[in-house]
Amino acid sequence: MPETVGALGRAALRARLRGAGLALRCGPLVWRVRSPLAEVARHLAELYAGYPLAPDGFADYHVGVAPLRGPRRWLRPQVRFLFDGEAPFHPLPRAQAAACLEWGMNWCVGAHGHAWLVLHAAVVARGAHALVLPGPPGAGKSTLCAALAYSGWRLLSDELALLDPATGAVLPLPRPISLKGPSVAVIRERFADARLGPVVPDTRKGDLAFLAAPPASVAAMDAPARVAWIVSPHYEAGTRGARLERRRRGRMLVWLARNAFNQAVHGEAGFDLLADVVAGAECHALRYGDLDAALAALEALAAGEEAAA
Amino acid sequence: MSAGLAATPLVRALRVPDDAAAFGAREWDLAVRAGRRSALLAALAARLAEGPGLEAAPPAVRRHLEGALRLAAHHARALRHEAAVVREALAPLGVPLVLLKGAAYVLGGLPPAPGRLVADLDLLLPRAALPEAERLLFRRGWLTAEPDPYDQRYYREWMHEVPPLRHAARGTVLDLHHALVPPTGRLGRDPGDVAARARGIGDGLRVPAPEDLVVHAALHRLGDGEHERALRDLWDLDRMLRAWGRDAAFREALEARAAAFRAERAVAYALRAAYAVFATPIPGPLLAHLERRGRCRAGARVVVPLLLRAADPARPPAWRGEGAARLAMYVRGHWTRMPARLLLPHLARKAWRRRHG
Repeated sequence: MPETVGALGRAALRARLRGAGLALRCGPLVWRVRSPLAEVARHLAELYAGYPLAPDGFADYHVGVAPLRGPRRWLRPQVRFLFDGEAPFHPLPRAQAAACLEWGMNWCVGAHGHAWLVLHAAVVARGAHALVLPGPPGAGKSTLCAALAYSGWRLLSDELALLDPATGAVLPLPRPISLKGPSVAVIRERFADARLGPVVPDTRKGDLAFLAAPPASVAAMDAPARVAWIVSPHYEAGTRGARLERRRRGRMLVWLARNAFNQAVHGEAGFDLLADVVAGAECHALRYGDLDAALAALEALAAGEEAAA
Repeated sequence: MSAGLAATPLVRALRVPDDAAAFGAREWDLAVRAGRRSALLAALAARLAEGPGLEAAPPAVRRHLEGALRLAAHHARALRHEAAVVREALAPLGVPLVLLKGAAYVLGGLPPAPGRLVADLDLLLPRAALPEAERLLFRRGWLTAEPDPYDQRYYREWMHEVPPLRHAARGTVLDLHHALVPPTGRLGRDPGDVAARARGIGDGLRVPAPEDLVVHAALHRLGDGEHERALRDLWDLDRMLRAWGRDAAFREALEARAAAFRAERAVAYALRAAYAVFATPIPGPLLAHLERRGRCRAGARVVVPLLLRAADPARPPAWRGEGAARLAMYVRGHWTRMPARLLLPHLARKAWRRRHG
């Protein structure tokens, strides 16, 4: 009985995707994925090799990527994301099949993951101390998260911070990092060991490629971390260096709540949870135009905390 | 009893929560998926919580059940807030606000309330008050959610409600009804006294009398084109009939109101369907009376199985028989709402737009 996606072999992987589905686990969640598409199989084989297979039976989310039928498929082939047989989004061009799967998997958690307070943020960790990087698209969150994940930090997620209401800790969901536009080249040049999927041009987010989560982060997918630092990144092209500025906790709390996927669903208990998390963390803004300087600044932040601990 | 739907893990667990303790992973998988699809996952969680406890489910499943309960609690909070805002906005009208469907169940604390999800606030207002109500609501940020002129006309000329309103900032949806059935329909006639018979629940809000709630739920199930939620409608009926059905005064009132609405047929079909799925206790004399008055004992053999097939959330939509059953019920729902001279052009137009968008 193979234990990981990689141990399955390509042929068996495709057979499962075409048949009853590939049940893969990431952190607390199991997705059962179906798809007849070769590019989806390739994406999973290349970027999910180290992920455990889940036993048959219960899966949290049943998802799929299927080609659209009809005469248009010869001219402009399209695919759609399926959630339990239903299509919650508009179709995408077939070239974006892998992105369609990744975005759809994120959507499952944002729309249905009410077991957790789900923040829109990247999360990395040093040991059991988590660094949360909230930020709107374009703030440089993914690039910074990718660079950190390949510079000695452990990746928890590039997009979704799952706060456990019972413990207040962040649960890891270390899936591939989506890199957009110029950051694809930046990461490729800087990190020789970074495993990148094919670059897909012209998605609704610009050029796009998926970067595998580092194997050590995948291996640690069951180790939660407590939020020690909350840093909102602001990439400012053309500026030099990087500087951390302290942020008031109250402002950070309001901002995080507004950018959570399901703050309202958690009501007052969710507010208290988030308030406790913010109260226990150092809050900063990071303005940077230089990635090395940003990494050094965050390294210093982590060293200070570890020295104090 | 229908072996198909009644034997699914979701329905079994809703009926007898203790049976869920013996479920394997595969059955939980089916129950959670069917629950999510039919908007009954939180109802399942509420049933388990009052029975064997959520601990009856394995930890991975319990997380979904707890999440569903959180979502239902959020809906109830949001609903309470919307109702307060709307009541304040409509105060100048000086008419009672009668809540319908999910809003009535949840804010009235009625039998279907535990775990009931409510996406929209449905209100019943006198027809003459509607234009002023729309003006007052517009000033508070409620805009029409149907900008298409054809859809606007469809609602205003043929339906028993104005096009849905959506709040510009909060995104919440408000449906204003002036009757429980469309005036053009053949499913029944609104006798016009639902508001007068409604009961106060405090805060200036009212809910229809129990028998009117049951008639409305039946009319809604038979007349509505949206069958994804059909199982949930039957569950609402089950909860109400279990709570109230033993009371002779309720049974008499239900008979009288089904007659007043000329909806004996719709009520008979809906009760038969609820019985087939949830083994809802239906007083035999009541059903016999409704079927005699509605002359629909034979019709039930066709309509009820169709209704059950369309209601089955366990089948993926790709299953062709279900598509056909849903289409049949969609056309039937419209048939009961509009005369053919209106219906055929309407369906043709909808089909054309769905294809060419």
